[in-house]
Amino acid sequence: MVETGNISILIALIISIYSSVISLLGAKFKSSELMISSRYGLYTVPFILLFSIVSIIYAFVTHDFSVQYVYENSNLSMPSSYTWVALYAGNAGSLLFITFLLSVLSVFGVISIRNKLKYALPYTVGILSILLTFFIFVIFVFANPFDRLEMVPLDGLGMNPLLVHFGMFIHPPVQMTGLISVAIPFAIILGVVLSGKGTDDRWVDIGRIWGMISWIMLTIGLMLGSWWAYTILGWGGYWAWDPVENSGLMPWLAMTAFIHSIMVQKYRGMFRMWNVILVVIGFTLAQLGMFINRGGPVPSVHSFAASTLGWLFLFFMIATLFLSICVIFFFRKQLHSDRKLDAIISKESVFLSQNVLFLLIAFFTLWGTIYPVFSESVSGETVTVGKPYFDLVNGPLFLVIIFLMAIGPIIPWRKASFNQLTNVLKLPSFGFVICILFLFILRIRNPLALIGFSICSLVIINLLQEWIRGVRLRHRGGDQYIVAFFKLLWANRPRYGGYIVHIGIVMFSVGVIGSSFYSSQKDFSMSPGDTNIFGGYNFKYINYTNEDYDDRTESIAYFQVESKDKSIGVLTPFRALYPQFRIAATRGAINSTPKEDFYIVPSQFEDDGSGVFRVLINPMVWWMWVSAPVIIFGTLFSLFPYRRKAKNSVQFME
Amino acid sequence: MLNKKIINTISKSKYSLFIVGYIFIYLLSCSNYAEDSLTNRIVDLNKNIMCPVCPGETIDQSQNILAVQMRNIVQEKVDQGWSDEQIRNFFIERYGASVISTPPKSGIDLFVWILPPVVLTITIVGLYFFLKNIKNKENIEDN
Repeated sequence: MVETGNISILIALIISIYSSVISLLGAKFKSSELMISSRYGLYTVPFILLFSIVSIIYAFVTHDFSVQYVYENSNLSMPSSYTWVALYAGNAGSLLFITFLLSVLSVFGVISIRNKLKYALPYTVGILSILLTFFIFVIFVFANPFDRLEMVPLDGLGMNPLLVHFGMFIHPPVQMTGLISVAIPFAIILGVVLSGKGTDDRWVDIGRIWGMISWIMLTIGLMLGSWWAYTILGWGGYWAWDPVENSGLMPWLAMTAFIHSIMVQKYRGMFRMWNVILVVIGFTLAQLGMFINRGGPVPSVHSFAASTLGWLFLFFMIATLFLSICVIFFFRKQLHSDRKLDAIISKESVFLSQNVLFLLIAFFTLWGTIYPVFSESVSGETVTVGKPYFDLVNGPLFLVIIFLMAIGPIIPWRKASFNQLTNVLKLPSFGFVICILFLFILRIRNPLALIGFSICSLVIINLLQEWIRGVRLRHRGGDQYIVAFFKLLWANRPRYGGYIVHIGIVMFSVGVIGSSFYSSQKDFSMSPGDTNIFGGYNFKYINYTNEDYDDRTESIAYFQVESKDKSIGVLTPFRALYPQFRIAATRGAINSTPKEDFYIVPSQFEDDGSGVFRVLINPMVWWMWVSAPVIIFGTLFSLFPYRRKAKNSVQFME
Repeated sequence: MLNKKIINTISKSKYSLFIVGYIFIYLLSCSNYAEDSLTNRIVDLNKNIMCPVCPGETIDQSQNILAVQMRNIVQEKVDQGWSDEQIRNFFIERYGASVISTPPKSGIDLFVWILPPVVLTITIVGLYFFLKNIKNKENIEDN
C-alpha cells in the first residue's frame, strides 16, 4: 500500500510536468491536440494523488509504524477517529493534502472555463500544472510522507495533543482549501491576460465566483480557527495576531478587496488592471502563509508543520510574483479600463477606498509579522511584535472599513448629486442619533467601543433603508410586502447576498468590539467545596475526577453555576495531561448566551483537586459564532446563478 | 466646489443638529468613563509580557509552569507597589527586550512604529490627489 502511494506521487509528478510543457507548447503552436492532451493530463492528477492519500490514511488507520510520518504523528493510544485525519497533522502529509486539494480545484477551475474562456485554457492549464509540479516535486524530493524507517517501532510518537479536538476534522481542511483555492482565480485571470484577451470582460463573472469561493473558505477557516483557539487553548481569547493567524488573515484581506472591486468591473467596466493586481497580491500572500507556516523564521503557537521547507516556498513565491509582475507589465495596454471615475462621491470611490484600506491592513500585518526578522538582522536584538501593536495599528482602520460598509450601499454609482445624498442620508442620520442615545442608556462609555457600536448600527440602518425603499417600490407595483421583499432579494442576488454577508460581518464585529472592550477575567484559587462570585455569576466547585487513559490523564472539575436568578447547571472544565509530550491541554467550559459568555478554565490543577481557575466574562462572543451561518448563507445566495437570459444582457442596476 | 456646497448646506440644515447631537452625546458618554482597578492592571501587564519558552504566547495565555510563575511575580510586584515600567524592566533585564509583546519605542525599533502612520498619510494624500486629478480632467473635458 505504501509503495502504491509512493509510485502514484511519482506518476503524478511525471504527468504534471508533461501537462506543463505540453500546454505551453500547445499555446505556442496553437495546436488544439496538444492543448487537449495537456488538459486531460491535468484531469488525471487528482485521481492519481487520491491513491497516495488513501494509502497514507490506510497506513495511519492500520498503525503502520514502518512509515516515518505515521510513526511521528500517531500512536496506538490515540482516539481511532483521529487516525483518519492524522495525515494533515504534520508537514509532509499536510503538503500532500494541500496538493491533492489543488489538483481537485484545478480540475473544477479548468472545467468552469472550458467553454466560456476557451482562449485562456492553455495558459490556465499551464499555470496550474506548473504549480502542481512544484508541489509534487517538493513532496517527492524533500517531504515524502512515505519514507520508511529501517527499524519498525512498536508504537508511534503520537499526534500533538493540541490537535486532538473536534476542530481538527474541519478547520485544517477548510483553511488549506481556502489558502490554496486562491490559485484558481489567479491561474484563470492570468491565463486570460496571457492569452491577450484581457480587454474582454467575460472573465469577470468566473473570476468573481472563484474569488468568492476562496473568500468564503478562508472566512470559514479563520472563524473555525478562532473558535478552536477559544475553546481549547484555555485563555479565553480567539485571536492573538500570531504569525500563522496573520498569514491566514492576509490573503483573506486581499480577497475581500478583490471580491468587492470585481463588482465595479462587473457593473462599470472599471478597475480592470487593479483586479488583476489584487488577485496576484492575494496569491502571493497565500504562498507567504505557506512559507511562514512551514518553518518560517517567526515563532508561532502553530508550529505543527514546522520544517526547513519554508525557504523553498519563499523562493517559489518570489518567482511567481516576479513573473506575474512581468505579465501585467507586458500586457498592461489591454488592462486599461474603458471608463474613468466620474466623481469623488460615488460608489466607485467608496469601493476604491475600501480596497486601499484592506491592502493597508494587509501591509501593516505583514510588516508587524516580519519585523522581528528584520530587527534581528539589523540590530542583532530580538523583539516581539504582538497583539497590542496590531490592535493599535489595524483596529482604527477596521472601524473606517465598517464605516465605508455603512455608507457604501446607499451612495449611488457614478456621481451622486447633492439632492440624492441628502435624500439617502435623512433616515440614517436620524436613526444614528437614536442608536447613540440607546447605547448611552445602555451605559456604553468606552470611547472606542461607542464609536464602534454606533458605526455598526449605522450599517444596519442603511441596509434596512435600502430594503424598505426597494420593498415599497415593489409594493406599489402590486406585490404583497413579504413577496416584494423576497422578489427584491432574488432580483439582484450578487448585491443583496452581499448585504446579507454585511449583516453577518456586523454581528461578528459587535462580538469583537464587545469582547475586546468589556471582557473581564480573574483567577480564583479554589478547592472542592469552595464558592466564589464573579461578574454576577455564582459558581461552586463541587468535586473533581481523575480519569486515566493510555496517553493522558484527564482531570475534570465540576462546577455548579448560577447567574443572578437562575441556575445554569453543571459546567465541566478539564485539563488533560499528556506525559509523553509534557503538554497540558485545557478545555474551558463555556455557558454562552447572546449577552455574554461565562467561561471557566483550570490553569493549575493539584492532585488533591485544588487549583487555580480562571473565570472570564466575555460579552457578546456568541454573535461571532452565530454570524458564520449568516455569512455563508449570504455568500451562497449571491453566488446562486442566473438563468442564461441575464448573462448576456446588460446587468440589472437599481 | 461640491465640497463647499455640502459644507454650506450642512451648516444651514438640520444635519448640523444631528452632528452636534452626536458629538454632544458622545462626549457626555466618554466623559464619565473610567476603568482602573488593580486586577485590570495585572491582566494588562500579563497580556503584554511574553512567555519566554512558549512561542508566540503571552504569560496570560500560556499554561506553562514558567508562565504561571511569572504571573505570580507580576502579582507580587504589583502588591509591593511597583510601577508598570519597573515591572517591565524587571523582566527585560532577565529575558531581553523580546519578553515584552511590543518593540521598544526607541532606537532602531522606532521604525516599526513610525512606518504605519507614514504609509497611511502617504496613501491618503495619494488617494486624494488621484481622485482630485480625475475631477480636474473631467472638468477640462466638460469645458
